[in-house]
Amino acid sequence: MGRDARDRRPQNLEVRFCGGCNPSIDRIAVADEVRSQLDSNERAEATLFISGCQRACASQHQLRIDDRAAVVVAGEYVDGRPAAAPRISVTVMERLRACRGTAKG
Amino acid sequence: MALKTPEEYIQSIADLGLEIYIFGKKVEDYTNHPIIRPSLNCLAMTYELAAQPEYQDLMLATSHLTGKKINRFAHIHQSPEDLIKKVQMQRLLGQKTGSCFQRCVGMDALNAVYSVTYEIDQAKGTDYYQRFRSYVEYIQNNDLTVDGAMTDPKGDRGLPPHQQPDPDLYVHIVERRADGIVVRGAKAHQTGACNSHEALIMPTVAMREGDEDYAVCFSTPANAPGITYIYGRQSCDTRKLEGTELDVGNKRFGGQEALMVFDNVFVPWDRVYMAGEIEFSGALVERFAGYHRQSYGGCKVGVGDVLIGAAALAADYNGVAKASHIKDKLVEMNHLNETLFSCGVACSAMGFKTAAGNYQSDLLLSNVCKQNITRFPYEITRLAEDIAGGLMVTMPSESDFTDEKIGPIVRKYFAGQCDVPTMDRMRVLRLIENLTLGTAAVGYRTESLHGAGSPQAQRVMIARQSNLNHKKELAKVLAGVGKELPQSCPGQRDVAAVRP
Repeated sequence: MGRDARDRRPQNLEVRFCGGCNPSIDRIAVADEVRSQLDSNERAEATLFISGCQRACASQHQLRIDDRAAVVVAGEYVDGRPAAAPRISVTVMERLRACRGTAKG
Repeated sequence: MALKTPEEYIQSIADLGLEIYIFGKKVEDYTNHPIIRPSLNCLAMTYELAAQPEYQDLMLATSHLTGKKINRFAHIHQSPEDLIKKVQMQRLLGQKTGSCFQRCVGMDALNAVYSVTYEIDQAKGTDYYQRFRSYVEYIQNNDLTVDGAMTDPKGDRGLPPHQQPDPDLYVHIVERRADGIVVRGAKAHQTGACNSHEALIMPTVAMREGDEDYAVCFSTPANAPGITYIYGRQSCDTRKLEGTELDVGNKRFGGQEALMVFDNVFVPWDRVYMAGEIEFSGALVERFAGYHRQSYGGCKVGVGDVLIGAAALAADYNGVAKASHIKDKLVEMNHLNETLFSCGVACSAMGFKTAAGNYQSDLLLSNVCKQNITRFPYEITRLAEDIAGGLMVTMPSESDFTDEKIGPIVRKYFAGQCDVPTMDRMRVLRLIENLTLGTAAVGYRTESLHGAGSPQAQRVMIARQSNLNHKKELAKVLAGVGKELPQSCPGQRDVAAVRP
């Protein structure tokens, strides 16, 4: 999906990216896949931090943020647990849904 | 307990009563054995520098477990700055010893096991992490040296551990009891094993189904019943038995490697940190290797500093210091050495926080660092030998230089620059020999190649950690791959017009 197409989409998820200097995962694809799995009228109640590697620059080097509604992707890790690249968006969705009602798993 | 003095450290190793064999014989007074003692002196230097205010910024850290000042070798890294200070400390010790000082491997093992046990517990509901934290606190409070032991003999490299004809070729659990486990096997090439109070044992490869008994991580006192050490030989090692000073090149310091054999060694459960969790063995190997490949960006650089200094002195003493090609070779040696340090610092600065909270060096850059280490020390030694000249391998022995009749003759004919004593020139050449092909070359050359994993192991990791698809996309965008060229292209018309 091109930049223009992404900008026209409903913003049902707040995403914060790292700068992407040397990503080991496709950060934009992860965000797109997660957005596409949200229902059309569904809005995620958590912020998704996506970093291209485990340095986790997007979340200020935190692999997991416990004091707010947030899910952290840092390379092949989601909230501090390993997640192989093809499984990242699915794992993120599980974590986002767990965030509802401020409950974090 | 306060930090140990070097003397207390050496006495504490003597008190262990380790079972060490060298040249086919058991050594009783091993801390005073002329081949072993220089390696013990190296490790003692990690205690000596920690007591000196001018080195404490690097040598000491504050424990995140107790808040006490501890030796950095027992520290669990809490920030990228900690990782950088680790590399700086290693460079310092390489400079002070000109040898492998052996304590890094335990520090790297402590940090790797710390984060992986946390992740096992998160996934499996075990309590390895809490056990391990208690162990780390014990190590820190008693200022102990730990041998981090990973490399199994491995037998047939084409077979997994559980299919080896001899099951002992990988350390494994032979019995699970109510109070602990019993293990058998061996760890090879163990740096500083005979100079350590403790051993922290880790699996050496990613385990698969059927390998459960081999996916084992535990700690043990170095003198536990059933543990035997068989000392490894080094090039020119028996010169240390001759009692001379000149011929050994570096009289006070040296490295150490040993085969560590476990013959039905009992390990209580509170010292077991993995027992069958095969899916985490790969992560443990990867993280330990990451730390240890980072380490080489410090320790080998420090030894490199000594070799560069020795080569520069040899040039001075030979009277060729002003020759442009000599100056250029010294610049090249420094360039290579500082490139290695840059790699060590870079993988530290780009380190990341693990789920357990400690910091891990960047794995891609750690492997790049070590890959360069497999090459650059060889070029640095080549240049050092080039500058030193052939005399470093043809000069007579110390006995000749001190002989009443022969001494004046060899001193006359091996004189160099007129205001430099012949013996100073000889001392520097012997140090270069020691570093490039003597006992210290084990650490500076072959260990640079194979220690912390052979070159191909890093290339596998570099391939895995590099995102080639990302790079392809970058190139596609700039090249316009997939776009049709415009129908009317002036550039093409111009080219066609000038063709004959």
